[in-house]
Amino acid sequence: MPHDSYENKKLNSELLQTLLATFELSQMGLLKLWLTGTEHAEALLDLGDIRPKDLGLSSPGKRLFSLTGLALIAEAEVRSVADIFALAGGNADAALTEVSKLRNK
Amino acid sequence: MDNVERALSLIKKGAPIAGAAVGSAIGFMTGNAGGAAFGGGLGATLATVIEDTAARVLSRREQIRVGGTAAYAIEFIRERLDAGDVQREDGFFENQEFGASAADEILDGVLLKAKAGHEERKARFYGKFFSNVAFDSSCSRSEANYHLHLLDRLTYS
Repeated sequence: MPHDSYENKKLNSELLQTLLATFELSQMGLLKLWLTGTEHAEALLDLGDIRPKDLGLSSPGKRLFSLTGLALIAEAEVRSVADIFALAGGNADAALTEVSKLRNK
Repeated sequence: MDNVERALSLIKKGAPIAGAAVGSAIGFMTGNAGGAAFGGGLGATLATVIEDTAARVLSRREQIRVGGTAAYAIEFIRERLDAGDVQREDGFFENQEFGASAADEILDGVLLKAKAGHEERKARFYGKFFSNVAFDSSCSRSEANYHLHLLDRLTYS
């Protein structure tokens, strides 16, 4: 996963949707934001806190991953999500949304 | 058409989703495939629940989704049996107070979720889920139901 962080960044709609889905997974208890080099996780309070590089499965997430056989998902499909997470610079055609404006709403 | 034929017909209808897994599943269900065979509670669960599901009124796309999911489940189970894995023996396949086993309940739930879900790419994962639970005695009935609920909430992409 890329090192991007999205605090105060303008995002296209595809990235925004992916961040929303990621945030929902964390609220379901399946994903955590791990503090680098530790076994501790950081609270994920809004979209701006998401750092793809530090995202990882929680214990329940690992269990669901295993039982459901999600490893069957093709590498190319997983890579496409990583590509979405990577900020690719300005896209004039895409609707841009500023994450900071979504906070506290 | 008797119950068995109805169940096999439903599995065949999953071909648009499950492709080659359908032929393999049919061969396995009818005993015409090589390798390990169904036995004990696992075979009974598959026969009972798929026959029961086949007796319901399903739309064309629902038949495809349910049939495809059942075919995937059978195919993944066949792979595990061929690999020498042993189905769980902790009472998961034994009938409980209402005449259905925990395995019946979970497979029924899997097929119902597949029927109602619009994302047909999830069929393979529903099938994989049941096949894994059928061999994993550390997964309780309540845990399986909870994970099935989570799986239903997830979107494919």
